[in-house]
Amino acid sequence: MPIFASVFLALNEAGVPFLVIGGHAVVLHGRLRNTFDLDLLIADSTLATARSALTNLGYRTYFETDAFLQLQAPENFPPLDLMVVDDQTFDRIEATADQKMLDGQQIRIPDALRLIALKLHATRDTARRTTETDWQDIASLLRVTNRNLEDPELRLIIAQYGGPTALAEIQRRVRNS
Amino acid sequence: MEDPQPLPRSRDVSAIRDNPDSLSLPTPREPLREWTEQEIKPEFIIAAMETLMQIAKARPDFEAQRLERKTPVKFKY
Repeated sequence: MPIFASVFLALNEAGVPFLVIGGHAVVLHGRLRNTFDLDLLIADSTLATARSALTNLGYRTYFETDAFLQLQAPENFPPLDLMVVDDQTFDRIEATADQKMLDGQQIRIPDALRLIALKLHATRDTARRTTETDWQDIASLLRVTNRNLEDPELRLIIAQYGGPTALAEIQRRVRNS
Repeated sequence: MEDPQPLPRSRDVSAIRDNPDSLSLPTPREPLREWTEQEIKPEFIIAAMETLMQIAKARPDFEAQRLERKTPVKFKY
């Protein structure tokens, strides 16, 4: 049974632009992997409206920082996280987003390069228990989208969001995949 | 008397193995992962994930485990 469509419709009706990120975006780019929640990217300026729309569906806040809102789902709705970014960041990622269909709804996902930037950002948090899935996602995104590691824009993103050791890690994983 | 026609299951499959286009199945030259990525549409994977998601979220530590995977550092682009 489709469980995402109601979330997309509620945000669309509330006028909240969003991008699907995380595992579902990775799957929609063509990598097969599992995920247990739905991650959406939204802008700071729309957070209050998004929260109100989702509360009306029955969602409750489980944890919140200025970077994300983890929501506890009511029955028949997906576990949901909102990743919150400043408006300029949202506009820049939205500008190159790809259109996809999910649960019969037209949605947008970051293009492969911007999704890799988001994944690299996640790998740099040393407090997280594991970053293995993020590294696997990055190597797979490069493979399924036929990205050349010599691409200057990709190199820039790897250096900026992954730090000095990220390129070697990606090269190792691409070689072994 | 003519020889009976061989049963389909007894036919020589070497020709099929050498011609992957004749069957859309993985072969040693086309590893399973690439085959699944090419042949299984994301919609099917997502539909399967929706079911798994509903089962997983019933676990008492589900939200706490999700929280462990989050980064509190705000992303800027």
